[in-house]
Amino acid sequence: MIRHRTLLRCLCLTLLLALGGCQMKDIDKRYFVVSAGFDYSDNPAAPYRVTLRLALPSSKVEEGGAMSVVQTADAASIAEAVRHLKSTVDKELEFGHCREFILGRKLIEKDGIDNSLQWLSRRRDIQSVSNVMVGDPDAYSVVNLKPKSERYPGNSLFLSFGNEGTEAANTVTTYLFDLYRRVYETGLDPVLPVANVFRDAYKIDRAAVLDKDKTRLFLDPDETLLFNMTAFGVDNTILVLPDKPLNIVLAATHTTSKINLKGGEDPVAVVNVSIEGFLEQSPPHLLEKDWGGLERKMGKHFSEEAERMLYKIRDAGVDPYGFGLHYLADHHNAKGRWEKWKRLYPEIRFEVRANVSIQGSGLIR
Amino acid sequence: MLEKVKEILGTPSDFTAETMDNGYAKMQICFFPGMCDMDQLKDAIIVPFSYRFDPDEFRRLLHTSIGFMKDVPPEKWVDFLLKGYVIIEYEGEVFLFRAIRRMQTKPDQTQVEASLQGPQSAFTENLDLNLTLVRNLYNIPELAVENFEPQNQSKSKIALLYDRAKRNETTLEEVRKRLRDLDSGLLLSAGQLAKKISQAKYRLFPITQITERPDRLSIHLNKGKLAVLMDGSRFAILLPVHFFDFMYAMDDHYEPSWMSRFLIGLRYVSMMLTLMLPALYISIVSYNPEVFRVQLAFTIDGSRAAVPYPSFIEVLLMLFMIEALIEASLRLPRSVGSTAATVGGLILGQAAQQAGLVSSIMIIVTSVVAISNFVIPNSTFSYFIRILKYAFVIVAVFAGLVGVVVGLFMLVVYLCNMRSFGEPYFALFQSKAGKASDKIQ
Amino acid sequence: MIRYYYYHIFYVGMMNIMVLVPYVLISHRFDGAVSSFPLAIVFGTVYSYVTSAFFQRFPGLGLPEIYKLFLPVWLANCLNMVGVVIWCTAGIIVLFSYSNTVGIFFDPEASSYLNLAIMAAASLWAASRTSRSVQFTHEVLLIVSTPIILWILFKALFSHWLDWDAIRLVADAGIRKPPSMVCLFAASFVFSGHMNITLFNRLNPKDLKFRLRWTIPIVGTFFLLVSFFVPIGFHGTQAVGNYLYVWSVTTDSLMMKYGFIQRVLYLFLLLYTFLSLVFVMNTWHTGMEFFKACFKKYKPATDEVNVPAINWWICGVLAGLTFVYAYFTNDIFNRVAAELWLVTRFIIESILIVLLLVFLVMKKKGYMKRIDDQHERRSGGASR
Repeated sequence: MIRHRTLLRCLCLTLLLALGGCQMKDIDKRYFVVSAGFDYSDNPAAPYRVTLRLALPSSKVEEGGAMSVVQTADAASIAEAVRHLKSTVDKELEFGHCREFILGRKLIEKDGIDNSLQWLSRRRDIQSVSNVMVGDPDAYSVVNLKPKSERYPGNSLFLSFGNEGTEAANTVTTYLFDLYRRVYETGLDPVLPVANVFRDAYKIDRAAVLDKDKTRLFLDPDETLLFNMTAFGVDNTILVLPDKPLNIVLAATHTTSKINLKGGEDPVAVVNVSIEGFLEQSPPHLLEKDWGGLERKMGKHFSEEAERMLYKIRDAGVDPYGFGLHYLADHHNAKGRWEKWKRLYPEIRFEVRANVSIQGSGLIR
Repeated sequence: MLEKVKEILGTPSDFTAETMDNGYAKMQICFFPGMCDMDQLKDAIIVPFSYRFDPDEFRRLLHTSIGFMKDVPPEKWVDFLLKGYVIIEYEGEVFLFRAIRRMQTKPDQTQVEASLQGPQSAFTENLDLNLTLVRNLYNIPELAVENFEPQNQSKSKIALLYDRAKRNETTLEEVRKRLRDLDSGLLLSAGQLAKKISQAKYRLFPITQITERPDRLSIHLNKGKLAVLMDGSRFAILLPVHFFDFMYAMDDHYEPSWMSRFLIGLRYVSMMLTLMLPALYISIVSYNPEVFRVQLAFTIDGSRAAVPYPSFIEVLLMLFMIEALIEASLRLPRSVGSTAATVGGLILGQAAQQAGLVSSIMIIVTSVVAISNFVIPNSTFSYFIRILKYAFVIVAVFAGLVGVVVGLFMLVVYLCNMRSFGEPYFALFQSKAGKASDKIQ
Repeated sequence: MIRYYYYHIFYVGMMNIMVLVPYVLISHRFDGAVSSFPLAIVFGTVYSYVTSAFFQRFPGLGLPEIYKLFLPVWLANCLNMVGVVIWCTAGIIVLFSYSNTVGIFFDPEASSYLNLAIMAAASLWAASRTSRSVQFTHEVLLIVSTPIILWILFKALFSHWLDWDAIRLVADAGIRKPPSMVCLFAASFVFSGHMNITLFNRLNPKDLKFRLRWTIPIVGTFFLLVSFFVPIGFHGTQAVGNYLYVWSVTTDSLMMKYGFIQRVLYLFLLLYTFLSLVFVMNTWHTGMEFFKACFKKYKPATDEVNVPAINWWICGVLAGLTFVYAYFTNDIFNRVAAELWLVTRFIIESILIVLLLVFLVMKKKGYMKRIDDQHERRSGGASR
């Protein structure tokens, strides 16, 4: 009797073992996608070119030891292209660790970002905190680059954003959820960093401002820096005051910015920026002579530059700062307000109030 | 008298039964020389009998001394003899004299529950000495001791200890009942006794605690709980216990409080690690590699590249190796034990990984599991945890990370559903409330 | 012992995310969600005051026992059955939607029934335990998970990606609209933790004082505002309406730079696995006890040594019903069902509150039956 029961138990256990494992997919049976690029191929039948960079596992982690392969496929949609790619590799594609999505410049100009965004936001395994950027001239070249210094495949590009690795002041960080929000929001427009390849490294120092679908304006590195400071209050930037024989450079350690709308029918957008920092480069004893005056001069210079950039953005008809949203929030989202704002915006005036405070001359000896 | 005894015992060669004669009176005496303390026997019986020639004087001695028991029914004689009593018959009266040879006269050193700064004395295999140890530490008149003698083959004496002022009557009654109802068979150690009075066979956690430390027992009594001591075992059984009691080392009471708090925290973390880590490894590797941060995923991926079989085989293999190693070094003589550990460590540490049989991450997982398991201060409890981790491994194989979390939920439900002799086993903040309710009653 | 009461208040406040309350509220964000909040706060607070005041006068008695004190048996049984239905459906809906969520984010390839089976089995087992065990489990899991969940909520609240303009816009625009009934029903769920006392009052001792009741509106309002406004702040006024699993996506927008787990989403989902299972355990257990109370022989017990077989049967039936529900339903229907449930819950709760007030009056006038019976139970049920 007892033996029968033991036998039965063994049988059940074996069955259980057979049942399990059908869901299992070991880590070494998966390819990790580390960055993905979407391009526009000039073929109307298969307009989307998807480029994926797949990490190859290696047991040793060392400088320049990152191994990866790059795969490309063209198809009528992104989803189909990814499906095609799946059949060309021998393992399951895993997007869970992919945090870089590069949209080719031509794709955005021709097709807009909507289709790519739809695919990105529907995949459950794609993180909402993925970085989205524009690849210039195309996404393929950015994905294809393998920097020599990389320890993990894809790490180098990933570390360029936010304050993960470097804290580059003119890199705009746009996460997927932020892009999605900006695409749908009334009175707030998306902005994307622009990445290109420069001598075996990534150069991400420009920004593209989009209307809801296509690029309207590219900001150059200096403007990107100003935009970063005024829109996001990014810390660790620099502020340059042209001077002879040497420019005066303030290393800003702390920046805050605040938007304010004034005036009803003839609104003025006031951007309050306060910058704290210390001098990194200046003629000797300049600060001691006229501390307050230098602060004011730097502030004035900053305001002028920033206002010029703001007008440029305004004239392109886009609103990455969210002035419109701010206006609506101030006016209870009443009916007709949005139409009124659309009338007002092209004529809006900007006023940047920069409050620079120099903490010290930076001299330590 | 002698005939009656011999009738039952036969004539074993380690048995002495004689009739003594000092010229004035006769005395029949029988005992097991091996079990009796000969000095005591000589002082109390042989010398007086030899030099007191007045029979009346010797009779008076027998009647007044508290060492002699009279009026023991004849059918009990043999039982007493087997415990080391001496039986004498003098002038038709039968007396029993307690001359049990004491193997131990001083407390043992702690072996299982070592303490750095606490008392170093542990229980011995002698019940009387153990009671002395407890009385020394818990020196108040409320300490009650009840004796039980189960009718089984070993007939070891069992003592139930409690604080009369603080005990919970229902629990006490329940324990008394269970001690009385002990079935026949050999009862050899406190662990066995604990198993018998816990009753449910397939429990996942112990509901009694076994300790060798008199100080732990005293603290336990002071909380109003019960303790069971058994003759012939150097361990006491504490009951009822809480889950959290097992995570206390006695040093926690003696060390600075921040340190002991840190250590307690460390133990809980270790317990979770030893319980969950293999299961987590399986679910991360086989189901959700995207959960952990990217660097970790790549490292695992890289180190697993050479491993030819799925993760759960790898885990089971390594767990088997480490369990075998622990078991081997436990049972081996001490001189050989270290060799086994070295050989095993070498195999597990280096060779297996280089041969591509397991990944290097798995080596770390295995060692963390083993080390963390040793951190748990109570060995019974750590056995239970050791076996429980396989349940999590199985769940992880079939259902991945979600399965592990649901398994953890079920473990909590199980613990909360457990009662140790009527007291909740896993209820937080319960001790104060328990005391309050006692006062109400 | 009062802490058990507040555990329920707290966890229902956190659970609202899984009963699709934020989804309902956000879909009405421009027409009357915000303006229904003050009403919900008032209703929720008043209701919890009434129930706690009421049950304080009947220590050691659950709602079924109180029904029997005042009402004829058939009516008491009817009311019990209403309770069974409303409690058990809550468990079924949450179990289904949570196992779906987990399936989507953890293993989309696996059969959705596998997750459901595991979780249903766990809930079945947990719910069929004794009331006291259920209470202990609730306490342990809540104490483990609450700090981390609060940490996630505060991390979201203080994130600089949170767009206060969007929040201001919705708050400002919404408060001017007339309140919407559905939103009132949904929002008041956040405050409905006090309803658990209907069963767990059996465990309450005689001298229980409901202290700190002023915290109920504060806690509820906090959870209500956070679960509604934080997703709006993260996804903007428009895009937030496009998401099905609003809070999952919101927590995915957070990042733990230094953690083993980088995506907050996973941590969040794992913690909510605990909370959802606790929710299902509580609801099914309450439903089960209400159901058992319909039988004549039934004697309320809170801590039996051996679980009666009927517990297994009832919870087994509930687990089976969940599978049937999962077979016939889908995401869209489930949302409708959840909305319907929220509405029904509020209505039934209101009726119950009226009933309780009537009972109070009846007690004062002396229309209470079997007073000796009550004494016997009080000593038996709530000794600790």
